[in-house]
Amino acid sequence: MPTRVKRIIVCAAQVPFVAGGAEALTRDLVDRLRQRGHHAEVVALPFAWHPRREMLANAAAWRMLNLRYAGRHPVDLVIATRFPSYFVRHPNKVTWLIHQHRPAYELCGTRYSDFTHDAADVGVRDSLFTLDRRMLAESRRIFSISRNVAARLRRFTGLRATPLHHPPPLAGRLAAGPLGDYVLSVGRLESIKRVDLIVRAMRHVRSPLRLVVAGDGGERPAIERLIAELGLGGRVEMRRGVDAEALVELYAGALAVVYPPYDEDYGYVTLEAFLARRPVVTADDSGGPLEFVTHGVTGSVCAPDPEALAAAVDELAADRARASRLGGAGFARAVAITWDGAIDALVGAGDGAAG
Amino acid sequence: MRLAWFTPLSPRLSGVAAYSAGIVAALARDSDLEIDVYVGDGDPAHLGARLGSGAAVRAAHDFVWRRQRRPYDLAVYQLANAASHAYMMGYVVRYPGLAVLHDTVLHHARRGHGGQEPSPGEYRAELRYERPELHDGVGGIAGLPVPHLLAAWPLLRPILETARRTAVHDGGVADELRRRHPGCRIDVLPFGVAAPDGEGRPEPPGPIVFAAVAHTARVGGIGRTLRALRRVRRETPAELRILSPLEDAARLPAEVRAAGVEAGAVTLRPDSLAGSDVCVALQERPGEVTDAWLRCLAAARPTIVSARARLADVPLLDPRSWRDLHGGSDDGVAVGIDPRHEEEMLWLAMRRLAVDGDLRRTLGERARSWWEARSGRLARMVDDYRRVLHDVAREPPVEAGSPPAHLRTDGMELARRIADDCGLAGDPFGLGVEAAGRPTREG
Repeated sequence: MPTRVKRIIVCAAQVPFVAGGAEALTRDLVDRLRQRGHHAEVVALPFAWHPRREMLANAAAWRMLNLRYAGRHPVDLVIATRFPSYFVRHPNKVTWLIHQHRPAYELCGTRYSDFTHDAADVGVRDSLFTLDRRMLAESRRIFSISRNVAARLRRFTGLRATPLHHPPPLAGRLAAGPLGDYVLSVGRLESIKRVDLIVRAMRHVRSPLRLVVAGDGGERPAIERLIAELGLGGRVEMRRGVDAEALVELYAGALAVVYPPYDEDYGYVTLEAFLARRPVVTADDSGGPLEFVTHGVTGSVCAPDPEALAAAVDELAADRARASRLGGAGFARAVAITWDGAIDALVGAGDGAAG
Repeated sequence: MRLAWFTPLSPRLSGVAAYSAGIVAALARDSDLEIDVYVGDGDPAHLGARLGSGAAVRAAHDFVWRRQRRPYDLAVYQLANAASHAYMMGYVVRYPGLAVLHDTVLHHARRGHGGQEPSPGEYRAELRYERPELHDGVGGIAGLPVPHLLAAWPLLRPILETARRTAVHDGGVADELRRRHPGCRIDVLPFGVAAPDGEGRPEPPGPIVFAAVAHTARVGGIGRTLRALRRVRRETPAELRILSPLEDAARLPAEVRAAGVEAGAVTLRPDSLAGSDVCVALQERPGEVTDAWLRCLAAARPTIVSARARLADVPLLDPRSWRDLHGGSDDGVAVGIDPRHEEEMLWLAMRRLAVDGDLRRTLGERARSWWEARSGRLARMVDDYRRVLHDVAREPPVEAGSPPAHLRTDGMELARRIADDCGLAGDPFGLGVEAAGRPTREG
């Protein structure tokens, strides 16, 4: 039990009908806070990034909330997470930053952002940068979910954040099985996850391996078309609606997990693969996974192109003992990450300033 | 002094790219200047390596956060009427600085660039702002792809009115702008180019080679030169090289065919005068200013130019008489073409220069002498730039005009309206009287 029970609100920005890592984080965070004996709740507001000219009005909604009191009881601490939840006003605001509005920041100018040089887009970004810096600076302390997110924050705003890793949602349920005859791709099917890159890599994989893709998302039709165009229907299996239990099994039976997203914030998939003692093949521009995947130690880091990914997969297929060894090293790294450290840091940062 | 320098860089399709590279390299050698070059697209690292100067090349998308982290003393915009300059419109009004105009019409660039063209409503607002006296008549032209009609709405006014200073490279152009936009501060930076290196040309053993430079080389504007070439080739072996990058090179073969010229007689060879004998540097509109002609003079090439008002002080020969076009002495430094008789005069000029090696030599020597004696050296232009940059950076910003609102929108309009509805006096973020994100000036 904690030395003092606190009322803690975890602030979440929710895009309706979309569930991903951010939602898992807020859910698990509240569970862990409650396990420590705190009163914890999620307050979520819908967030719409389209149209861009109205985006800041969504952010302003957070500004208008009164989260200092729950009824007549003071709220001791608010933990803000991703944009724009850190716009919330509270005398004891701690931010655990998942990410800022990425299309306006590090993704701007890439194919993953639709911000242009149009005067309106430039104006939105200018206002956003100004506001972000001020709203985040109100925090008693800023943590980030990864070193990658902290580095972005420092680059774009000059603010410092302390990276605070935490276990993935399937931690505690994952186990290793025999190394199988497939490599696994896990994650939302969105362009930035670059599942198409893995599919293209399968054209170059010489070993008799299959690719199993577990996930759903807007890119599914495009990926299915790509599989058909490349004639890979017999080697690539698209799994739909994979629940946690099935996913645990897929991790357990894979030879390796291939995970080359573009500049990922953190990447639960990496840690989940490691907890199933599977090596991870990732790309050198994948961001968060690179905090855990060390080439030749816990997996492979290669250029983000199909041939390089295929070569890395073939290497693992040719030497299964090595694949097993790399997965084991990954397990040692992932199992050291616990919720205790994160909870202590977040709650401790808010100590001494009860609302 | 920290400068943000907006310009396309090679290989983007703009004559300003090479110009900017030369100026930036020269200015960056000044220890007092720190220059970040902002490009609209392309890989900044790759472009930076090509630029090879002390300046850093960055993506324009990075300008907003970089200036927030460390403000610039001045932003410099190299504005021209080409698609590769269109990205600057998102910045030039919001962050006023030194606007260097290489053309007095920017409408085509504003209209025709994918992803950055204004919406129909914004476009109409810009047209109205440009020519308020024609307010009632502009709605109908929004969809008309008529280049010359577009030139009547240059879309310059928001830039001229908000710029901390405007600079052009020609006194005549400056006078015209001052007349049309009284009160705007306009400086003249006489053009300068570096001394040519390795672009000499011995007397040709083969066909005479004409070089089309600057706007002459535009697809759509090359037809007149091709037609003259066809007539010349009936009497003398001659070829044409196009020395400017083309935005629509795919259309060139059709233009060549339409002019009746054999395909092998026309080649694309951007950015090098080497191997050419005579330069054709016709101007499409009076407001276009380019350094391409100066480069030809510096390289001792005989040139054929449009006899516009801006060249009134340059001795030009009339190809119908080979006497001075304006009645002066006959020691012209170039051949002048009256735009009213362009086809005939161009043919006459090319025909004589194709066969008269003495005249080519004489005009080439005079051209080089004229460039050496006048203000055409790069060092002089760099000094002028340095003076203007320091002057503008020292001056307090002037009060801006009132350009169409969409050019200065800050994305907080809806939030303010909601706050107003709630009686929050338009301050939805609770920041007090200082509203965040309001457009500010550099410096």
